[in-house]
Amino acid sequence: MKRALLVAAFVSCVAPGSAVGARLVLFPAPLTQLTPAPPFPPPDTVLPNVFRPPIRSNELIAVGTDGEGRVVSVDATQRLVLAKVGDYRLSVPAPAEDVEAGPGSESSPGLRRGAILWAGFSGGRKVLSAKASLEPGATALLLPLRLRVSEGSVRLENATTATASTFIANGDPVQLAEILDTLRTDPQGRKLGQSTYVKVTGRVRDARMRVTAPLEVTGRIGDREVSLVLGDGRPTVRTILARGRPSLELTVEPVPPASLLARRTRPSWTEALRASLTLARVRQYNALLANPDTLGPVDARYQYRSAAAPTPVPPAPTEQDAGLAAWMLALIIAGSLAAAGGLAVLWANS
Amino acid sequence: MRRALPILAVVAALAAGCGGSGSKTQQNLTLVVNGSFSKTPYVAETIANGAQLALLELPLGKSFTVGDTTYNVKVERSDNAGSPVKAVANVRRAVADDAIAILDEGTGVDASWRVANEAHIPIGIVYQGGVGLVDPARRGNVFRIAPTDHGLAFRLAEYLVPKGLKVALLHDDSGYGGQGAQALDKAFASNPEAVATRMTLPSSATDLAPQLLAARRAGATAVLVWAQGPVIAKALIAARSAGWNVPFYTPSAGADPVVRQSLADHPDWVDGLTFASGRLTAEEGPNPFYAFSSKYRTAFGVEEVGVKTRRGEEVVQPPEYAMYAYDFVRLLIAAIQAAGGVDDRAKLLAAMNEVTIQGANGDERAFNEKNHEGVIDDDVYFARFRDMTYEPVKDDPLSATLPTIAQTGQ
Repeated sequence: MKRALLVAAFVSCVAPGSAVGARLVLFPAPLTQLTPAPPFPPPDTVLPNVFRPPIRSNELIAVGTDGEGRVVSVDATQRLVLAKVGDYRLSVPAPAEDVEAGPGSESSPGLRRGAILWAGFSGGRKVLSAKASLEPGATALLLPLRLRVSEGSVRLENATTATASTFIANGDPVQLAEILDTLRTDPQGRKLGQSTYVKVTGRVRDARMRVTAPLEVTGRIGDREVSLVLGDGRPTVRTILARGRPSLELTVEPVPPASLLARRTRPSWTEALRASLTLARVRQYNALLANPDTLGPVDARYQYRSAAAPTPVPPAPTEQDAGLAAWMLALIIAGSLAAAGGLAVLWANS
Repeated sequence: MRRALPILAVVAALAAGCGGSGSKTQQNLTLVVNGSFSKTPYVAETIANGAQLALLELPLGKSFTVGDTTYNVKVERSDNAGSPVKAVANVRRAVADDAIAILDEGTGVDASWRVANEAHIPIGIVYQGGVGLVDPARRGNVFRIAPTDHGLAFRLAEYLVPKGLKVALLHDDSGYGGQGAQALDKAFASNPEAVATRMTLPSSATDLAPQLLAARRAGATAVLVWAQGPVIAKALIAARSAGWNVPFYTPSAGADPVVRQSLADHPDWVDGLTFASGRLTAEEGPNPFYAFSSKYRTAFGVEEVGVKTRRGEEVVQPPEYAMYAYDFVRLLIAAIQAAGGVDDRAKLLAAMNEVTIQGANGDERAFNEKNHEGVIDDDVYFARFRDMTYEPVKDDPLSATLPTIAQTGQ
């Protein structure tokens, strides 16, 4: 939310609509958050984080889907790597139903309503890995890929599109080219930070820009191999034909736009802005679970798999229930024997 | 500063709840301290005093208000004489008396937790670190603010194994020693080459010379004694009097005043004794702990160890276990506030997982659904004695960052 407000902030600070001489405006860098989530927003009671940056975050989000493509389970494994000596106390917002230490973790996570917790001391390098079961309903809304499985086809939809409130101006093309050069080597925009200024001239206009994080989708739908990109100038929705109602095994990764690789000496404001905001969107989906270090590197991979819908588990019989069942069984057996005995008597007397 | 804000909010909420003038009803609450007052009075008394101090600090002095009710809290000492049977009987009595919580050394908790759990009464363990004592999934009413045996043992292994030592793992025959031995077995399981021998020390023996001689003959180049204070002292005496100047390591019990008292005639034999314990200070420094110590001494006087430094200064004991008891009681009161009173005990128990307070050492103290440990394993540090006082070692990353706590002439 804080970052979303930032977008509005630089609209007001440059007085849109005004046509004045050259001045500096804040350029929307990839650390800008275009929507409040992802990552999951913090609960009301969250404590401030204490750590020494940087922290690196890697996530693997395992999404289970039912026969129609609906999300039925989400298991998120987040690996945080602390690189400095010092105390840490971290809170990672998540609608977690349960959590346990993940592979290679050097500590055990805690859990409170709406957050995974870590606390301790890092002697210079500390790996904190948590495997959390997330509430599927709340999580499905924030996943990058939406699936619809029908008889004979699977519809894949890139769900990352957002509309950013921003502004258009005549930016210094040399500065804009420098920004794009920096983003080519650091697509997460950590070197640019949150305060990159660009010289602009002429009228500054409010604008709304729709941006989508390109998604690289690989894997298998039924017996068919899939490798495609949703977004980045290509369709954000694809329908894959398949036999029957196929099972899925897809890996989805938010990736930087290919256009970023094409070096231009004098890019326009709009070109630079689109690249930067697209990277902002990519960064958001690279952190479904937030990195407590908001400037730290993030990376996420989503694995969609067909899974059986969870069936309600019948309550285990209590000891009392078990006793009753045994008693009933004994009664039935006794009754059966008595009836059999009666029949035998009847037969003998007939 | 960042972390101060929510703490202030909690304190403000407590103060607001405590200062009410329009309360209509009064209710008495009893906090039972279940400890070995007759056998190990230092530990039991310091726990009771820590709890007492937390209550003295309430704005109404041992009372606080939630809604329309003013709660008057008293601490009741219940001696278990180190016996699990007596400890369980004490808990039964506490339940019968409708105690609000039980502060416990840990003795007998394997049986007593069920008794308390049926009445939704929280048990706060503030001394023993046994691995199975705390289990949020099965024993939802048991919490602990004290270093765990698991944390102490693994940190000791982490510290000792890289030194290339052949360690004699000795433990006494008490429950404390037995739990420690189990933790050490797990901690050293991947490094059997680091273990010279394992041995049980009889607590009742007056002389441990045969056991220490056996350890020496096993090729030990270090001795790790997991035992109560008197046994640690006897082991040190046995080794040093035989001229064996082997390095000694212990869990927190190495800092028990009784060790130094027993060796008052040979202070140099204590030099070099290294113990593992929970850090007393947070990253921000020793001032919060000093502030707590000062309040403690004002209320209960200075806890003198009974020995002096070479310069003749009286050595005093930092109130470590009092700090844990103090923090637990403050968490309990915060939970009562969050639960809106004590009528719904299940709600109160659940609130224990949700509240956070600023601990006496300046850092946050809290439990959560998955973790009922108030001292995390990362917070285990090492300190070494010199001249009857101890200071954090320099060859461990955490310990090297910690200040030395003043222990003389106060």
